[in-house]
Amino acid sequence: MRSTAWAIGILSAAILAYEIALMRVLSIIQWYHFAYMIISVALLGVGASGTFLSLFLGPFTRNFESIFGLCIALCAVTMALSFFISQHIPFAPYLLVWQHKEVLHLAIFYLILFIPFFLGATAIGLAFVKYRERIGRLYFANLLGSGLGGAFGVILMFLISPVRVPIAISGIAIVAAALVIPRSRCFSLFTTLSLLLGVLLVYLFGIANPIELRVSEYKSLSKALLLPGAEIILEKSSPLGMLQVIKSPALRHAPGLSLAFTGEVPHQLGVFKDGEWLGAIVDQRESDAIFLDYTTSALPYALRRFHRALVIGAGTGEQILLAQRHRVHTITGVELDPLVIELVQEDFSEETKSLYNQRGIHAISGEGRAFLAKSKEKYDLISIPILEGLSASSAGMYALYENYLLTVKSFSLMLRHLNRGGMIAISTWTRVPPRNSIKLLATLREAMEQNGIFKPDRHILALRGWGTATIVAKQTPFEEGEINAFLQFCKEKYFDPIIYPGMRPKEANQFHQLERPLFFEAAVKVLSEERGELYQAYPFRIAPATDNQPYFYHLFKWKSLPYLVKTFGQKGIPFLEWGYLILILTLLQISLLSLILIILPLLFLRRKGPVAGRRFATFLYFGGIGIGFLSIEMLMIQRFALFLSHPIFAVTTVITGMLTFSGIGSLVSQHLEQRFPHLVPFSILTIAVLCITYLFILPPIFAPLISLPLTVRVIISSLFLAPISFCMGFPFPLGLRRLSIQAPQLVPWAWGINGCFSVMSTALATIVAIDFGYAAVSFIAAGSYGIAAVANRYLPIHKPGRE
Amino acid sequence: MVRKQITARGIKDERVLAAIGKVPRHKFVPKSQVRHAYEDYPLPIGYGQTISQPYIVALMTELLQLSPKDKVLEIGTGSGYQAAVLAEIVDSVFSVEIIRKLGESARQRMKNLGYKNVAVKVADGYYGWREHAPYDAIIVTAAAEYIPPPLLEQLKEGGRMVIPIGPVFFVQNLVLVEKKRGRITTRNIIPVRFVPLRRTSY
Repeated sequence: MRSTAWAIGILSAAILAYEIALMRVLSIIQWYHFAYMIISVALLGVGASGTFLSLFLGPFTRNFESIFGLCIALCAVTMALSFFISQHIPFAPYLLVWQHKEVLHLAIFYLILFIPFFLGATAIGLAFVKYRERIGRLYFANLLGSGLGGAFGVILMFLISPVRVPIAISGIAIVAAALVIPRSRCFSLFTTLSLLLGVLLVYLFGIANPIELRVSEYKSLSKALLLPGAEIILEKSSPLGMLQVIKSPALRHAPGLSLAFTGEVPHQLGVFKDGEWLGAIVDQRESDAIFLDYTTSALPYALRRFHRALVIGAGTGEQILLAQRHRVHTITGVELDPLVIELVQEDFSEETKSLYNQRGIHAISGEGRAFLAKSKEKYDLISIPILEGLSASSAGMYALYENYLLTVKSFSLMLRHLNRGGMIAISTWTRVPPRNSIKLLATLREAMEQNGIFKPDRHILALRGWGTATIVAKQTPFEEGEINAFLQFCKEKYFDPIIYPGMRPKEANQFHQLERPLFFEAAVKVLSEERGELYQAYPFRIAPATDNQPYFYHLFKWKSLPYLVKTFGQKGIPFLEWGYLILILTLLQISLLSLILIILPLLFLRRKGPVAGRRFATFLYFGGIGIGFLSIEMLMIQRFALFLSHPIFAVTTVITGMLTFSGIGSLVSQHLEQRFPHLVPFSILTIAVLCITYLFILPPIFAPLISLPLTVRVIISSLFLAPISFCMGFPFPLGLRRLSIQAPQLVPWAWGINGCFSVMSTALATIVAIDFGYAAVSFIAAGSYGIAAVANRYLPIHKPGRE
Repeated sequence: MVRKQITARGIKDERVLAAIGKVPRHKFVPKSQVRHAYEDYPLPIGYGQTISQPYIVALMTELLQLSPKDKVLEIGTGSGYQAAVLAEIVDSVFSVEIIRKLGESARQRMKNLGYKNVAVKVADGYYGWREHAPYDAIIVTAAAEYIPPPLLEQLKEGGRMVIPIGPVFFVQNLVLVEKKRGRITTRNIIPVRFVPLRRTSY
């Protein structure tokens, strides 16, 4: 039994680490959304394993040792194999809309990666059934292992290249399998052979001939590599992302360059993060980057001189360069990824002339919001460059990304960091119909109102060029001199004003003509009292982004579908907001797969006797806690993404913390229940109360603490995760235990239901969060647990003392 | 195809319709895609490139308002389909493709199909094709973040350029650029989805 517990612990760690590693790799070769689907695939594996077990319960429990050992061995082998095969499936999401074959590729992709999770979960589930009286201890091993596995996966990402991590993890799973090699002869042989194969694969793919990451040919990195003479000259990796630097004589970058520019855009080094464009390194020995003055981002510098500037999202330093060209005295650049700063400072210090070390320039590694909360400085200019990756930005690929920099509260914070006469300048890509720029105006306007500015139209200047727009907001009303300078800048650079104090409609459409002055019209409404109506009627979500719903790039509205169909035709819809639609597609696909792999087979199993009537209660109970657990997990991940500065730290802390503390909870669950027979309803009540309470108390508690070091913040987060997770450890094992005694055939069914609803909840919780906000998710989680509490009364009753 | 996808969507120019009707689109797509050749969507032709859907090809051609004597520059030959359509309408077409394999096979295809008035060059399209400038019309068939200044220079006074502009991936706006009396203006036509222009994808 002990070796079983250890095997489960190590296997669980391997499974979780594998999941996180796959997410990282998928972010690099495809896009974040597909990475996100991995969580669903993993849970699908778990759910399907439950069904599988229930179909073969008898033979499997009789040959427990053999099946258990074999499953773990096969899991280890398939971890390496599946990863390898998945890299060779020609999946092109870009074509998903037109070529339905791609749906097949997507399905195959899922199924290949589903296999290791399925095998691992079968082994674990089988042990749960076999040793059901001691399920608490096994569950503890499972959860503790999973928790540690998450942290382990992240640590590995610091040490070795992302493509080797899944292979290394399969090695860990081999260790687990080695602990429990079956004794029966033919199983033992087969298992040992598998293990040897596993070791061979680890050597092959991990050391001798590492798998090459095949980045999707539609990602900007792949396209950059097709340029004449293009080569990757540097690669650096961390959990925050994989950086690659490309050199090619044909590489030039100038977002929204003015039509008036007749010079040469200098060639640069392209820096890519996870396959997408991050920024350019301009070789300052060759060029003085004059082209930067011909982008919309140069607007603020046409208005006045600045002495102190802050650039949030400094990246490779283009905006810093721009500020330097305009003789700003002190420039502070904040950049989240320390590796990017390293690129500028060390690896390419000759090209950049060590930009971040030059006189008056400071680079700070950290997250923008955290910096603003900590800093006591005030600035003349706070500049936010275009944050969206150049590629994929307009497709709505960022819809699922929490962005706490572009929210009302964040802008409010920025306004308070301005000197008298200071300005905030934000740039964005423009699309037609306008979206991002209008949403920025809306969010800025809201923040200004909260800071006592009630005539926002006198405080905003905005213009647009080809593909970009820049908005400048000022603390005090713009003066006539500044407005004239603005108009002069527009005229010289062939930019169109979007809005300025006193603008007339006919000025809106001179250079970059649209059928109607759409930008101007929307901007006027946003700055007026009619903005509520505009937000309602507009075909995209342009109401201000808030901390409760920090999805600035989520622009899709279901009810605008008829408008979109009419304007762009049926084929046009997917042009618009891909990211969100992929999420919906995932939900549908995974729900369908869940139904097929989990629920359907179980419906064919006959039930007899007293348990017949309990199936519905079982369904509600385990479904409810499945939804509840995952919803709270997704909620915490997204909430903590702000406090911990980056989703990857949030993911790891939350998954590790929740699984560890709920593991502890499940371990003590049996003992506690003997003393407190109403433990389940009581713990559910606590969960619901804490969930709703956290909704209100976490933001104000976290806000002042955000400037503390990361390690401290991780500890604080864990302190909040502990009580709720601890309670969340009770319902599942206690319910399973009850079932295992009164209705053992229902155990795999319960495991399956739980798995199925967990799967759906990953996508569901995110959809609800981005469409309705975190409050809604909290209530759904609490409500699901509530349903489980009610169903609890109808579950078969366990009478203490009767084992 | 001509009737359903193109006339039905408002393309009126007789010459454009005739050209599209004449050019055998299926000869421009890879074997595996031949059965989709006349469908209303773009098809992959390798190297992360696609051949545009017929309607877009027709629209861009119509926007140029070509006369038979015109000299046209195309950036992004790809399969050569657009160049062939142009060749049916005007005297000379100059086309630049940055991916060597695509450019060479397009050149061969033009030869095989008898399009003598199309010249294909493998080069960086950013610089246009200086030797034959200025052009009455310029068509850019890959998305760009901005209009390369050399192209603006090589456009004749009174000339027109059609180019998909915008954030490079997924959705851009098809834009008509006009040079009148030294001033350059642009007009947004419709949102489109083009593969990125190699050099300016970043």
